[in-house]
Amino acid sequence: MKFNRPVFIIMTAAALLVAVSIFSLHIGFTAIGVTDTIGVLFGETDSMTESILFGIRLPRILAAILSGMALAVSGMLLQSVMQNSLADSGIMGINSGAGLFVVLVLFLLEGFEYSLFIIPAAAFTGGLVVAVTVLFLSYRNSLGVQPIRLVLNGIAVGAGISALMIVLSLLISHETYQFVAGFLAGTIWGTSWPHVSIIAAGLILFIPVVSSKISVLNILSMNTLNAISLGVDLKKERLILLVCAVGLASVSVSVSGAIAFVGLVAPHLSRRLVGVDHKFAMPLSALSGGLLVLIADTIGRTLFFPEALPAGVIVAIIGAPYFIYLLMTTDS
Amino acid sequence: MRYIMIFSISTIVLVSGILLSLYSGAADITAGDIRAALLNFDASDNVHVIINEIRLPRALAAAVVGAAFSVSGAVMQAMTRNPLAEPGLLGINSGALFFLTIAFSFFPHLPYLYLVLLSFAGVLFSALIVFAAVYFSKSRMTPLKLILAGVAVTLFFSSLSAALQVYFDVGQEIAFWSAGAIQNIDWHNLLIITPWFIIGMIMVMLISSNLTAISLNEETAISLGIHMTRTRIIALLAVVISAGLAVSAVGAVAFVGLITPHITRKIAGSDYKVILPLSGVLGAVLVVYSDLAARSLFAPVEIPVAVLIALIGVPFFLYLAGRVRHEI
Repeated sequence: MKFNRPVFIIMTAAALLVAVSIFSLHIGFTAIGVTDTIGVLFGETDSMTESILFGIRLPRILAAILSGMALAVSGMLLQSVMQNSLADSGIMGINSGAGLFVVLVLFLLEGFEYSLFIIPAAAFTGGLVVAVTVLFLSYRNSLGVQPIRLVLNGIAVGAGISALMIVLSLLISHETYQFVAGFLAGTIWGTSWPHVSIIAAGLILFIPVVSSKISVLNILSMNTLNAISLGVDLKKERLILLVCAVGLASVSVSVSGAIAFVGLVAPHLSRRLVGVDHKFAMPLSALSGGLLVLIADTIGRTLFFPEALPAGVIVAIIGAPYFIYLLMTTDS
Repeated sequence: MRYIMIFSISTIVLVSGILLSLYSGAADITAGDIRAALLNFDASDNVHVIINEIRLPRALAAAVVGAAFSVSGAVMQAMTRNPLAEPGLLGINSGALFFLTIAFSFFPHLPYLYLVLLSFAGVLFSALIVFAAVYFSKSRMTPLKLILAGVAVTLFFSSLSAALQVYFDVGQEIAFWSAGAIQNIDWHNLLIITPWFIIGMIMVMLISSNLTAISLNEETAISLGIHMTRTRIIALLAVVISAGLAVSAVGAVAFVGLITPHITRKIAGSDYKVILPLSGVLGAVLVVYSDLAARSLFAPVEIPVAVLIALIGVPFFLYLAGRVRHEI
């Protein structure tokens, strides 16, 4: 078989992801060796080890990986659709919208019992509402969604929401504030199996759509005129792909809090490694997004023990300088 | 002549705003009280104390802070030749806020002067990142790219702040502090920031003609014999001092440096000798009246002044962004 570089890189990334997951499964407060894990897998009943591995650590690892994947795919969609390599779901106001709704719901429900799914539902709705508002503001009948307007409107709406958050943060209790601060800093807080299933469902819903649009994405990311002359219905395809991007990012935010820059760093790295063809760049971007968030979360929960640093903080500390470097080196 | 008139009108508006701030509030105060409190202060009279010790320093601080934010916005717009440059949007304020978070986490009882100095350091740090991104950029930094750099810088510093807040559990204290900072300003704080404010204003006035040339065209500025490095350093230090003192007094307020310099340029053209002082006065007007509105709209509840200004600032930003779109 001929050596295929992109496939080789994708396989390596997948192997790396599995390796880091296994490593991450075995570090933490309770020392668990690989032999213990194998023992549990083969039916040795040690309920303590089993519940730490499969009740606590594994869902958290999966939540981190899946939300990283969703963010990375979402970022890549936004970049291709807007023909702007600097687009990211965080910049469109999705994160701040999700944060706003979570605070509102927590503020209204303060003192009441509420279901496990209330917060993810609020975050998802908030992200969606704000993103759709931004999309709507950027839509012109003759031209469809205009990329530059989208970015600027996203920034403006985000700034408006952070002003509202100042007011809300003064009204809520200390405990709620701590939760919200963690949420906004990108803590993987949805660490139970139901939460994992939420993101998994989102990915199962949107990924097939995205995969069926790979060739459209390749055409869209090149040149508007080319796309039209090749018979792509620009307005329609853009809208479908933007909806996928927004949906994926909102699902991710609903469980992992507001993590920025994943949607930026992962696609970029992937394009550098395997080129611009979405057939390779998209899966690699998903894998590296998952890897990035998983590594960040693992560092965050172990290095600063007993406190845990939100994954989003660590991603931002790596991602922001990288982003500024990109700004300086890319042509407009 | 025209400028002198505009200048006097806006100064009158500013002074009336400060007097209005003395007048309005929970305690019943008459115009006579204000005159008496200002001219023959009587420390045993409660009304005099309210006017002189609470309302006056607050109103004056609002004026100083507004002028400082506004002038630093004008300087940044000239230096980057970018209409959207502003300390809040470019992430400069977030650097100051990060350093203040450090202070709250490790040294909760630091005297105000040290907070101001830390705020300077934070502004310097973040401003250096932004300015470096502009000057070492391979291609021209378009307004959009600069704004995105600002978003990245803001996210970077707010993540670091969030890490500290989570680790030391001081998040809400900082929220309370920045929402209420302007209420707690007293003469002591005001006397610390005012000299810095004056130094900053002298610095920008020294380079005002250079700023005019640079804002029009950098090549022309160089061919006119303007010393670019020296101008850049003075401009940077002036921004550090004015934005830093402003954040230390009222927290990270965005958009002031965007709104007033633009209005000023509409009125006064392109000469920074006029733009700088006038945008200072108009910035003071904006913040004094916003503060007045913030505490009287829903009295007795005060809304943070940053929120009120953002409500004006967001639409203004969109309007400006729409206008500069062709060069993005």
